[in-house]
Amino acid sequence: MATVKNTVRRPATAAWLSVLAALSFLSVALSVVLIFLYAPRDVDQGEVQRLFYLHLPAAWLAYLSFFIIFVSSILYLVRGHARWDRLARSAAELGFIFTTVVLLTGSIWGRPIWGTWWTWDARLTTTLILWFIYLGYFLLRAYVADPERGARYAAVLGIVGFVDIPIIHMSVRWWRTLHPQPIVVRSEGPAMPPEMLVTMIVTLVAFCILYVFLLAVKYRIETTRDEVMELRGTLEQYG
Amino acid sequence: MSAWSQFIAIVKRDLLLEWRARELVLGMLVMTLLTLLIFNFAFDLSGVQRAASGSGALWVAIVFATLLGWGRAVVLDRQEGAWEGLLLSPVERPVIFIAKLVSMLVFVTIVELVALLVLAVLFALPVLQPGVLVVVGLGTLGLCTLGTLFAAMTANVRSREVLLPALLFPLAVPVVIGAVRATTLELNGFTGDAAPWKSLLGGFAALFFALGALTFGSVTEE
Amino acid sequence: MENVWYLFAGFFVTWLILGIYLFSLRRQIEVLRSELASLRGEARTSERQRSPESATASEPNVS
Repeated sequence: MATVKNTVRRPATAAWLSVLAALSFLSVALSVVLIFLYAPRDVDQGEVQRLFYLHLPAAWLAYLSFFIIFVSSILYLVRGHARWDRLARSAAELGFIFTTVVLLTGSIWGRPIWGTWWTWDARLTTTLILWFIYLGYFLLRAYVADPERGARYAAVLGIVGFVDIPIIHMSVRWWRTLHPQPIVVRSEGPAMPPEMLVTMIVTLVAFCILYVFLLAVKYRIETTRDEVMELRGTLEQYG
Repeated sequence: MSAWSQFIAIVKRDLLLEWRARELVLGMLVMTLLTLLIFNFAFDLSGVQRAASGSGALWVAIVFATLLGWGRAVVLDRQEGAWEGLLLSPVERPVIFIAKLVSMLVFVTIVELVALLVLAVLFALPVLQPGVLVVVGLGTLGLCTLGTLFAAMTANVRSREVLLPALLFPLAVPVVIGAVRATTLELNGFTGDAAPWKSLLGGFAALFFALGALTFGSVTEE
Repeated sequence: MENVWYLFAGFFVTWLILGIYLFSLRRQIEVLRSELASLRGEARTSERQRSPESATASEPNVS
């Protein structure tokens, strides 16, 4: 029976993780500085437009997470390695968090601009449905008793869900454009002045670094969790 | 036994069992008719806007009936080890998928025909025209392909009644949007405008039919 | 300028969610660490029970 002490990765060996943590913190701090001190005030929307610098990266990461789930799910079903399922689980948690952030920032930004907390605009609606798909993903894993079956089912959901997202977006967009609606003004009408573009890119990069850091942490947690479960199983068998 | 005869055998068995028990179709039928009834009181199904409300009511009723049908069907299938027996037999998984899909389509179609008759007679909606029937067919196909896959997943899960809709509804949004829109347009006579929606429904059904057949094996490994 | 309130609300909500998530990750790590510690204890006691004469020797290391 393997000893318990040799199976756990010690935090001390994860020097690169600490570097990543520091890098994320610094880059996010830099982006916040840029957002408030460097980026110019928007002519039409005023200060509230600065929320967009959070909203867009969050949206990007929400959908990137689902893409990661999609690829990991295929790899998991085809190859069967537990690491793909771990990656999917980790990306799912992060994706759900960022989807929530997108919806909330979108709503808070929309209230002063559009006068309403919510609008059934195609992108926001698709993101809301994505949020529900993530929720279904977690419910599925939670309710299926056998973890291995749960992983397989979740993988199928990940694949079907990802393929469905563009179709959902398209159908919602058609639904909106062929349907009378209040006028919705997107802020990306005129081209962005370069200071805004720079701020946007820096924030996007900062959030990506943060994302990689969080994903790495979460992945290691899941690996440890799997090992703990395995150990527990072995102990129950022989102990 | 060829795949075709296996397929026929499974479908025949499902239809035969249902013919004897009749609980699935009757249950779905009752659900559909009650939903239409409630919708009549909730919305104005006899007023000027009744094409839109009527098609909305129809599709909500179909979605709920399909959910109910799938919930019951997977339970019935797993009685007395019949499902395990089927999985142990040398039938290819995609064949089982298609067979289950077709059986459910037969049941849902019966229910829908009655619902359409009710809409035609009680609410004076011109539903019995080819345009509407095509939309109903395509939309049902889309719903049932997703349903076959996810019903198999949630068959042995606790809270199946909650989990199946939680998984199905978000994914089926394009079908609901497309089907309701197309039905409304057809009822109002704008068949040309309904064409893009019909292609959306058809494409959706084809895509998830393929995807479902491919992944059904992963869902039914034991 | 009254829109500034919304700006800060949006930023606050975002950092709050991320902060809560970081705390949640921290808690997950702690829970796992304590589980590991208790498993280690269990492993040691069960090894001692099964082979009392080798309890003082180094732990068997079979992989």
